[in-house]
Amino acid sequence: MLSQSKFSIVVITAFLVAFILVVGRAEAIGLTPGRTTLDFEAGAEKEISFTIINNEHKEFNALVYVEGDMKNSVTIEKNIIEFKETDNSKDFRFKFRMPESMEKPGEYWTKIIVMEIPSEITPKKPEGQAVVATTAVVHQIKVKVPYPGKYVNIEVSVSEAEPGETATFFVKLFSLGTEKIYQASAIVDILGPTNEKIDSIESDIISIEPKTTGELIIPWKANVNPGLYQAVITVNYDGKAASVRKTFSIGTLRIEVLDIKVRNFVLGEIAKFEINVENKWNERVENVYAEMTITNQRGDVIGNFKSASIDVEPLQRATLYAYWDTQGVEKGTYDAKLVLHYANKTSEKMLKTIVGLESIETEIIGLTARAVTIKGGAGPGSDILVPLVLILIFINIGWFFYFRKKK
Amino acid sequence: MKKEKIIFACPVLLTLFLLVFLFINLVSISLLSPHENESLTERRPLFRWMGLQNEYIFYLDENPHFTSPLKLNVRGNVYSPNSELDFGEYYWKVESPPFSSPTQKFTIVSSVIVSRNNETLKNEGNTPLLVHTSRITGAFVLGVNESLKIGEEENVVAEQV
Repeated sequence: MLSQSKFSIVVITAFLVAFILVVGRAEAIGLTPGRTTLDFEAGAEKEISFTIINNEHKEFNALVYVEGDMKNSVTIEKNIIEFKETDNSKDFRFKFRMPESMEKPGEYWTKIIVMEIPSEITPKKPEGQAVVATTAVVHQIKVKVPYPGKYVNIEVSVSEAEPGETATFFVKLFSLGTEKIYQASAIVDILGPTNEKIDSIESDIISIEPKTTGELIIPWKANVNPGLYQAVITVNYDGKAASVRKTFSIGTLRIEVLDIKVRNFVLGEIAKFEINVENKWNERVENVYAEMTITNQRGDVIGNFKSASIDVEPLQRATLYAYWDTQGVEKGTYDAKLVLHYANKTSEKMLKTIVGLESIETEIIGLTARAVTIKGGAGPGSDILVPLVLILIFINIGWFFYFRKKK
Repeated sequence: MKKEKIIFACPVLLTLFLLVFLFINLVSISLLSPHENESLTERRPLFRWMGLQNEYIFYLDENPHFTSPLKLNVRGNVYSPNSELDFGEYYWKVESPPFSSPTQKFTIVSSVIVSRNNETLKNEGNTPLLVHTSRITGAFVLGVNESLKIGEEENVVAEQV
């Protein structure tokens, strides 16, 4: 086994050879997982492993050394791992012995550093002349030392919901103290866009053992407009309290096209399209603009134009103006596509546009934008079904004719 | 007469056997991937199962009792989450009432992988990295598939954020 001082010598040796000539080359190194999390147990010894990845299938050596809060707790057997071109990966194991005591609670980090070095450099041959800058990756060991008494960390997530549906708050309580929590509960205060309290809900009461996680599930009927809301979650546990704030959304940010009008139009001149939209979100949406593409019956584009950008206030209506030069355009019925751009999103509507001598009428055909759902095949089971049914049919037909002939 | 009985019995037994086989296939749902206790670095795994129903309810949770699951109606026999899952242990099952698959556990683990090509360092793992270089004190955060310009002579150490 190698002591840490010997490791340091090896590391320094590896660095000392990095001089004079820098060779440009491609290299890659990796490991998985990147982190091991442990709860502190005085004096406990753990065997930990991770995998060093050679995804470029090349020959190199990996130098392994230790840094961090508990570096003296790590014992490694080999500090140089040799990779051949045929090696996809190699498992690396080491022992981690926790100290007998820790003065302060909290998180302690130790790093197992895996550095790629050219295969020609080894501890036995450190005198290389043509060497490179080094690349290294880290496997972290996080040790959680419990807090004296009762201590809770809170993590909150909220399920997606549309207005009128039920949004559910999932409040995870990580008991990081040394003592059991007998009674833990949460109050969720929901705040509107201007921080006004719009509702308050209470959870059930649970108990949580040390080093374990409890979960409170709090449903809330979201009878509110679509938009962003804040929740203040206060957790009370055995006379103590902790609080977190969470932003969540109800519904989706959406600008809806209400109608499209063209007034005072004469064929051959510029048509002014008034596109009336409504912001269904409870916050201002900036840089909203529309793009229209008009095509004839053959599918040729005869007009493509954009409106200026505007900002639409929360839950308000607004009008976008777009201009189309109709010089050379004949009267008739055209297909058109309206694309509304906002908040890094687009929504499309197909239109039928009837161009007359003194009028343009547009009719919204329907939404073309659809939510994408994954639809897989019917699976291997249904492949079996058809031949089996066919076999059964043939067997029974054969059976029927056989006995008919017998008679 | 005995021979005739045997000839009669054979297709009947075969039919019964196939009917039983069909019935078992119809009612059972078996999970194909991720396998039980599999460790994955893919943060949007492809869930596959076998069954003859058209529609299923898909459950995914960090808790084996499915206290706060992701619950979705899925047509077909595959599903892939729309967003990346966090690292950790997960449990999943599929139902098509009144039938249900067994519950399987899998783990999503981080992978810290960097590639370096002359002056470019790229994060090829599945988690954002904290990149320390010998040129500066402090560190860069490098997102998944993001690249960073570095000096050819710089030493680099990358770790999970």
